[in-house]
Amino acid sequence: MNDTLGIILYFVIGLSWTVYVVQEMFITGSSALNLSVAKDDGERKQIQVASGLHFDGIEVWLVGSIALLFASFPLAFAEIFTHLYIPFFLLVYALIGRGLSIEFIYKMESKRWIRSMSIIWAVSSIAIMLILGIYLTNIFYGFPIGADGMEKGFGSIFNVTGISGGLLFVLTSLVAGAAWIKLSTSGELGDKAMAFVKKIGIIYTIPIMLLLVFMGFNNTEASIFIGELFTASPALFALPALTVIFAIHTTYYGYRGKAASTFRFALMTLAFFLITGFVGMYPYMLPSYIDTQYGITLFDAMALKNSLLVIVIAVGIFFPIIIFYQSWKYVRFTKKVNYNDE
Amino acid sequence: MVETLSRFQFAFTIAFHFIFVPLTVGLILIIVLFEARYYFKGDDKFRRLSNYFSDIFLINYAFGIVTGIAMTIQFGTNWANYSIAMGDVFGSPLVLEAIIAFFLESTFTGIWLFRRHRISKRLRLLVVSMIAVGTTLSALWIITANGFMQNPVGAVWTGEKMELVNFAKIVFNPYAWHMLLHNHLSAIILSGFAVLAISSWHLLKGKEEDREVFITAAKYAAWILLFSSILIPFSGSSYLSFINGVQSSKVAMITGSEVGGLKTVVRIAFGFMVTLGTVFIVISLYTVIFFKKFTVSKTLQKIYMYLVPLPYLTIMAGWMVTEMGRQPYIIYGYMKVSEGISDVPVSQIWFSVISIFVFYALLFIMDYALTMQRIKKGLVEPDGGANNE
Repeated sequence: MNDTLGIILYFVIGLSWTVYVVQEMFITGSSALNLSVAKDDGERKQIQVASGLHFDGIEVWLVGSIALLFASFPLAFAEIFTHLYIPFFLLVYALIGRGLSIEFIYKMESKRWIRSMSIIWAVSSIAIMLILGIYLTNIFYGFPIGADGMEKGFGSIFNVTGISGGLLFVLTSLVAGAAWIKLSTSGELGDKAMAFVKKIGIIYTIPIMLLLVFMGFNNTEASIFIGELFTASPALFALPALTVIFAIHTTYYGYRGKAASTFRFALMTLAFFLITGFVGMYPYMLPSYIDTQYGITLFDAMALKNSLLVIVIAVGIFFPIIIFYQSWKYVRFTKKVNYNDE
Repeated sequence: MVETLSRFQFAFTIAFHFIFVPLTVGLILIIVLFEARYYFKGDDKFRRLSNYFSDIFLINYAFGIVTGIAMTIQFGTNWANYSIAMGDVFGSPLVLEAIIAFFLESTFTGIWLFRRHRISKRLRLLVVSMIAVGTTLSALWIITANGFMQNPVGAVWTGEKMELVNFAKIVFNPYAWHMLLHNHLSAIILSGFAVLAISSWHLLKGKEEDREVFITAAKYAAWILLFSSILIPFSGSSYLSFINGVQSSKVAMITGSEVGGLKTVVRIAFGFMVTLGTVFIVISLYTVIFFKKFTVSKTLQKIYMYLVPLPYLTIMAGWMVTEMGRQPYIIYGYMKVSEGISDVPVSQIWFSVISIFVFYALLFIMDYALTMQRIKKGLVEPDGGANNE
């Protein structure tokens, strides 16, 4: 019973992260492009109004994922947040910068204010995806956990695989963001965005980064591809295979300039990347690449039955409700944002 | 050092976060009131007032949200041992806060911020009501978590860890409900003062054609202020008599039977809070009775403009009583603050303390500048984006 609740919550957290990242990627991506594709403040405002509507409701999925980790697996939460003390503060600063700039860029009339806010908006958006990409890739890659806990400082997350993962997140977000601009705004802005990610070659980098990360995973003791579930049922290798296929499709449709398909496949790429990761590292919350036995499993980290039960019931009731009203919001406000809409 | 810095950082970040929280919690209720008047009476005045105060709400809401994320992260970065010991009990209210309250308020503030001029009257009322429900529930859950730390019920202490026994007891912890009521009333008082001050500014320096609208706003604020400041001593005294039974050491500090250091600070803070609370009753009575005089007297209007810091200081004093009064415990009677800190190199904490301090100073200037310039811009109608609304 206890273990079942823990396993359910392990996958709920994976789901929550996935739902968060696939939405955050087009918000941050479109935000980051504001400097490169908007020719004036009217166009920049189109991006702001299209993305601003959703960003806050999306960001809560991140807070939710963190709160769920805290409540369900307190040991893993404490261990990882202490280890990554500085990266998490940097993430907070990036979130603060993005949240304030996206809302307030046009709340003051000074040209200097608007200029600095648009830069903060772009830079913090990229920073969010970079830090999250490095963080999540390292969660799948494993940590230097030895018999007495972490053997290295937080700098160890900046390994080649981690950085490739960070770049994978940023680059895929830019492509998804360009497609989102095309889908959610009217005028020529969307075409410019789609042309931009093609012209400077961002669309071609996605499969390459993905392969780098997957190869990196395979280089360690803690490789997700020899984890419990992949070993038990090889059919699961369909997940990483699909991730690669989606990445290639993103490139293909990005090349052809088809926004809707590019959007769909870019989102699917990161979604399947995360699903692959969470399935692969099961049952570890924090795998160790020094020796798998030192890794922290969900069973080591989980809270007791009563607490897990409260959370499972709450999630069971409220996740469907949240998904319902957030979907309603997407459907209700599909109208494209025009030039000079407020 | 790690403990001192962590304490300082938490006190600083929570106090900063709480600059924005009470204003948004109280103001959204006033906005719902305006929006309901608009929906049922169709009086356009209330739509304009709701739009205007919503802009001020949204600025402070955004700052409240972003500084709130810093709070969540800190449980893991700075209070890891507390999180391990308390995860079972503290975690679930936090999850409930996120999935019941945060999602609701965030989803709907997005609509309010970026689409409110293009939706129907009915949807407008629905959206602001959802935000109000969200902020209230959010206060409920975080206070449930804090209430447990003040008065641990529904769980057992194993010597290392709190284990959840009865979740209903945690939710219906009387400590938390006393606190919630007291806290909400104080937020409403603060927002009443804010609306009164803003309206005063417009009567003094604003456009002539907006006068009538802001007199209405001031009248609502004055009555709201009167009701809440009369109710709050009742909530306070029943709260205090409840504390008497469960936190004897806090009461000893309040009454002055234990003195020295922090204990004296608690006593002074309590006296300050009660005195100002009494002053608020007098002020609000005066305003309601002599409301006609207020609408014409420039001196009175000027005074109201400068009263706004008082409710903020009162609220800070109240929280100082609550939080300093339970020292040295992090979970009253079971775990000390010193046992809750993370095992982090002190240099990293220096990094966060200094960077937060600088960063938050900038945020404060930003919030102040944004709020002030929005207040002064007065009532504006959407004009196709030219006004940067």
